[in-house]
Amino acid sequence: MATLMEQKCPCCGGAVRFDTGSQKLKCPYCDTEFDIEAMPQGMDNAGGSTVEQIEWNSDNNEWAAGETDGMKVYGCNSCGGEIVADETTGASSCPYCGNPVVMKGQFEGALRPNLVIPFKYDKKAAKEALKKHIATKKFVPKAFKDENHLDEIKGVYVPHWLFTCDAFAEIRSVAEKLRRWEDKNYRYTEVSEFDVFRSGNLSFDNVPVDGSTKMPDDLMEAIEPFNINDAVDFNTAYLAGYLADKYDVGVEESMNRANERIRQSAIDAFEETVVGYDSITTTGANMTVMNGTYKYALYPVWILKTSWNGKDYIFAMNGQTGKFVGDIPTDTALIKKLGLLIGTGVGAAAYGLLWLISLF
Amino acid sequence: MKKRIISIAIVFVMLFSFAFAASANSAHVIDFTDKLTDSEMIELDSYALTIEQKYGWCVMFAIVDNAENFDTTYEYAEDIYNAQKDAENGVLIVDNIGDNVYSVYLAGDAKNVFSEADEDAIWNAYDDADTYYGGIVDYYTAVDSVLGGDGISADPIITTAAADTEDTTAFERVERQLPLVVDLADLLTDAEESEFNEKFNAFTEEYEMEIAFLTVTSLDGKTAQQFADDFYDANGYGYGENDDGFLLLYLPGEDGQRELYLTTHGDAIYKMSDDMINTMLLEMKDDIISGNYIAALDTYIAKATEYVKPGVHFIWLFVFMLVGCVIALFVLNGMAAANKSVIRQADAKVYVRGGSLVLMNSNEVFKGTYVDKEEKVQENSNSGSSTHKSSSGRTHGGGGIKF
Repeated sequence: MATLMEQKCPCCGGAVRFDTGSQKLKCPYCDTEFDIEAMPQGMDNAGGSTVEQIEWNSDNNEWAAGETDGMKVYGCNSCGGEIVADETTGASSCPYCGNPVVMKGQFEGALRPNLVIPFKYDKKAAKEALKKHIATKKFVPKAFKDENHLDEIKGVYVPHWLFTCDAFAEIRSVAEKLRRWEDKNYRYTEVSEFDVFRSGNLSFDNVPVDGSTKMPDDLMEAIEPFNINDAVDFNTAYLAGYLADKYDVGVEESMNRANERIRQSAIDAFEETVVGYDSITTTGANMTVMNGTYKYALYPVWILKTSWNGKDYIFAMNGQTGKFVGDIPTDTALIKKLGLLIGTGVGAAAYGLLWLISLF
Repeated sequence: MKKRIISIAIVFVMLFSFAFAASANSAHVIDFTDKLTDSEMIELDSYALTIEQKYGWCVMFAIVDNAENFDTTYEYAEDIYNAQKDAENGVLIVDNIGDNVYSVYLAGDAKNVFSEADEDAIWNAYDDADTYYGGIVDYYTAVDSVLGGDGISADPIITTAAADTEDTTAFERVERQLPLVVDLADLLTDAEESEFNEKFNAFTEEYEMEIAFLTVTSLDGKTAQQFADDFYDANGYGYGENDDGFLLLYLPGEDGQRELYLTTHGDAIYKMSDDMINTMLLEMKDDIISGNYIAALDTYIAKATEYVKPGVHFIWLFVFMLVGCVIALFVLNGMAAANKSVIRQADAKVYVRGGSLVLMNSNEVFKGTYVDKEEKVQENSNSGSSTHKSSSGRTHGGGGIKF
């Protein structure tokens, strides 16, 4: 019987895939590449690091009978995005690409969210925030400031998986203490090396992972954190007036991203307990996740889309905290001009100063 | 921008004309008519200094074309004396060759000491000579005899003996009486000597640092370094109160016996590094072996000018501008990086449950110690040369080659 073996990334514990371009195994989560031959040995290396994970449990995610009756699913024929809106809100255009959407029918299937964080900021606030965001940035092309216009502004409940767990971590490092002195001809550095080992527990609550493929992950992580204390039990009533995205990234897949972040924080936390050295190099880290549970939550996000010079610019505002993010084009010609002007000016001034000094 | 260029040009013209005017006169001898060579003026100046040291009197001579804005040559003489004087008591003769009139100006005690007959005597001593230079020497001799002296030596005394003590405080500064080129080995013709004396004087005036050249037939049992240092110190070489300057000593001889040594003092120590001195001497070596002293001395002046000249090579302007641009672009791009705000989170720090960190094992095991040894880079590129004390206790820099 054929068995499918899943290879795990020694760095983050994510499931690695075969990359056709490099002909190597590649971790899609932390971008580490491995030779196929090296993979099994690498796993056994004492210096390597692994993430062991056990089963994650979730609360009840069953819809009550009739609960989804007023919810309709709309599909975008252009980008393939699927959104949910209640009957009264309706949806006319896709929040991701701006193209018209069509109602595909009654919402059904999928899991029922456990929690929802309601919107605290309205559409007006999001518009204001965009203006402020652009105004405070430097070297923005003037034409962008003048010409860009808001194509879309949509309040979207974005599906997030929230992971809660205890992490048991073991960190192995080499630490160095240095002592320096010199005589007439030589500089000496005495290096005292120490093997440092730390292990212990660290718990994490509600680490979020974007559960929608249409919503860029980096955009969602950039508007973090959301304050989970304001979350309330899900009720379809919160959807009124907003769109909701359906999760299309499974909990298993999202878990890898959560593990990646948890692992980094665990390493950092235990490294911080190693003090009194001049340098610390982590040589190995193992992490085991225990008592893992997950929840399914909807987070409020304002999505603003503008276009300029034939390119789309997507901005996002945390609908709970008002944190606003979005990349803005840079006027590279202006930077070059300024750089040249300041550079030659300062260079000439430095030369003049040196000249004056040489007179004395 | 245009204004700035014009003002820089004006400053340069002023500096240049100042340097040019200064080169026509030394403190005690003024010659607006070009009757004296620079080396003659330097020598005459050293005679005057000898008298000044002996009596504390300022003895001056001026050759002029006219009385400038003054009604009489006497008034002009009074003005010149008061502008240049080193002492209250003194004598100045102004020979106004344009108007064919002269004037003897007596200052301070001189009015009591010099009788009318003495005034005539010192004028006649000058007037009777065949050359301006000879006349002024005779004038100095006459002044000296009026003041009761036994006459000044026709040839300045060359001193190579250094002070007996090593104590710095015992060093007595003397005014230089020798010219800047002293050719005891007689390798240069008189014309060449005077040509380089003029060039050296010009250099000295321009860079406020004396440049000197000395040839000898023997080192009197000293090393080249000792000889050059002692000669420099004992004969009062150097410009200004710090005696800034440098002297090149050459001892001719068979292959392998020739010695070339450059001693530096005062500011020259900082301007010329060991590497610079070495480069200079090696560049002169071949010309010296082939007896082409003119070329060697031209190299000496050229290299010295390169090292001493204030200012920074033009190429650095472009280097600085380039570096400036790279840094500016780096900083500006760094500022522009704030335009990118969509960045993934590196960790889950904000989701750590407060107080949940439990450290179970904490070991630190000492592995061992090793020592890294790195040779120091000797830095001497432009921060001056290595120094030593001369026998008089003064600090000198320098370097030499034997070939």
